[in-house]
Amino acid sequence: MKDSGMIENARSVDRAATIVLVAGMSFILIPLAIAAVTATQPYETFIEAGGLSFALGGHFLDNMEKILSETKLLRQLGNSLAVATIVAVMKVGFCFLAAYALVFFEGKFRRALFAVMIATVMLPLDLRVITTYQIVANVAMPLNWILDATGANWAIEKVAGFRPYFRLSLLDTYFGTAAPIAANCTAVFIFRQFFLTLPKDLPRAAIMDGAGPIRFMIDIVLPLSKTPIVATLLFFFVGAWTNYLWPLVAASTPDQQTAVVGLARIADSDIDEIPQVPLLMAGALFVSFIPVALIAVMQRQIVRGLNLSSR
Amino acid sequence: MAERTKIIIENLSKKFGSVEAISSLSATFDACAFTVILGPSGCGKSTLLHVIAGLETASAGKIFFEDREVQNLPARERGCAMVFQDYALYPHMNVEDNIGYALKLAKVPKTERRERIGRVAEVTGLQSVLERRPSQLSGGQRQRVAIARAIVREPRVLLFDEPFSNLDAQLRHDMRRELAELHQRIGATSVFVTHDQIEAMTMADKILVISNGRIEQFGTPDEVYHAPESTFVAGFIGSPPMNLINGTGDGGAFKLRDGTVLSECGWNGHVVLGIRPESVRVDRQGAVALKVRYCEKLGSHSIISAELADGQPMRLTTPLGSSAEPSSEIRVNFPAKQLHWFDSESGKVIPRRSNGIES
Repeated sequence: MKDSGMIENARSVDRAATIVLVAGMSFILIPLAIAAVTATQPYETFIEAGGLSFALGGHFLDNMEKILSETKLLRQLGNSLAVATIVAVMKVGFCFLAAYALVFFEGKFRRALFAVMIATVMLPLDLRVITTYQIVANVAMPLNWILDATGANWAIEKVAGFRPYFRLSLLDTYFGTAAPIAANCTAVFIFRQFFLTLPKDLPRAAIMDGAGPIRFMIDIVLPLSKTPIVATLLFFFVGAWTNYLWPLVAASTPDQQTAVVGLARIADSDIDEIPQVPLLMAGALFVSFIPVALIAVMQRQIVRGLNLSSR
Repeated sequence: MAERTKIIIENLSKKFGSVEAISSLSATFDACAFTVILGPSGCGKSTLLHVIAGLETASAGKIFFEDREVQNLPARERGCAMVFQDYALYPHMNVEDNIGYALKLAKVPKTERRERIGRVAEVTGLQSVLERRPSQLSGGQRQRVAIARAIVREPRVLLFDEPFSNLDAQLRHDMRRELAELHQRIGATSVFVTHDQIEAMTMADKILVISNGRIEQFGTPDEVYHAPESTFVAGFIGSPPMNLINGTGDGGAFKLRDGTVLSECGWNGHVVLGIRPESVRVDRQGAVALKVRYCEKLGSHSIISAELADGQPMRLTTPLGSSAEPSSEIRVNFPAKQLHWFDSESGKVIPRRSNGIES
């Protein structure tokens, strides 16, 4: 009696869960479906319908063809690929090293360093966009500032008769677009948590075997961290891919812009003209193809990697 | 055979901040001997092992391996190997690579490496699992891999940090015997840390009992068991441990607070009487009355928990078959030769010679 009651109970829970899931899925999937349907319509259908409609049109390939011929999205897709890869690799690399230092080394300033890292997470790039622009526009700016502040410039002017001013702009480069996005330490937490789940005697065993800190990192910690590394790489790749504000500021020529920025440009055509929404939607599908495919293929690794355990 | 290396520790101290884990400890561990460091958790025994290994630096004092001063050398130059409590195997390497990692780092050529791995695998019975990952092994096999990894380098000194505490009772028993045999074969100076007195008693050539970072006693298992030097050692070793009874020596007799005389005593003032549970003799005409609290029947013998006249608890073991009903009264004798006397202030043993009755 009790058993059948439990089974029935489990069934009703199942049913409730299914309803919640279906509701959630439709909330997420309906806009995507609208985008996909709209991408198949010709511009005229869109104008006639007076907005979005669910009528499937046969113009998907036409729209795609236009994307390839009339916009720079293909080239910009390459830019996105380069920028997102640089961002993911830099972020994961730096955060891995930082977390390694935090977990496996003793130091007086360990806690303070960790606190500073937390603070940088609280200060997103969107808030610092102007200062960041100034620095990327001339990465030598801090050097100039130090030379001024220490009086070194004054001394050089006295001796050599001119005042040095260094200038190096990284605007409109992949690195200039990627580096400020990569300067973020969210993954430090992820790697730190992961390292803390490793057996506490593991570093000791490696020391007894004669491994130094770099050997231990390369031979032991790095192979063990494969899952969180793959997961965070994907995570940050997709994050960088969809980043909008900073890439918009950092790259001013269409040839250097990322795909998401280029996509937004399709929308702001002439003021008097109704935007080419079907083209825009086709572009959106085109631009999101790579990250969606990556997530679809690697979703198990992402879930496993974010489980934060060595087992 | 490994080089003969004795370990000499001189006035060794280790502080963590203001906490002193080891205070001015001196001892000599004989070459090729199996020394067990025994103590309750938090007594500093693992810290002592880590300092010997070079995983922790000493705050003061010296350590010599034979005549080489090592306390300032990095771990890898000391020639120690260590077996850890949670095995600490490399999860992503198979058994062969786990055992051979140290040799690989030491740039031992591959053919020699394989040969040496093969040899220790044979000694530790791991030949059939060399290709497996640690996660595919049982607890006992994992511990064997850890031991194989330690001995493959033919270390001068082998250190064990509570290696059997994650194993079940049967396996622990088997591993004790295996390790004792292994020690006979390789003969490296071994230091084994444990809180398990049975491990200490069965495997040790000498036991170093420590508490709060200080030596309580350093002696053979027999000495530690039959001639404890302090109430700490007496109350820590033995299962159940020695009974420690507070009382007063007065005119040649040892009296409890309520005036009951337990035995003769050649000492005046407050003293602690120690007697092993198995030394207490049950005797209808016995001089001491005990009130039985309860009786654990273990088959081979029974352990009776009882109360003295003034309420102090004590335990005694009785031979096969004999037991006692709760709240009944039994009479016992305390054989004079089996008594230990301790200073009630310091807890240190009062040497027999100063005991009036013995001389």
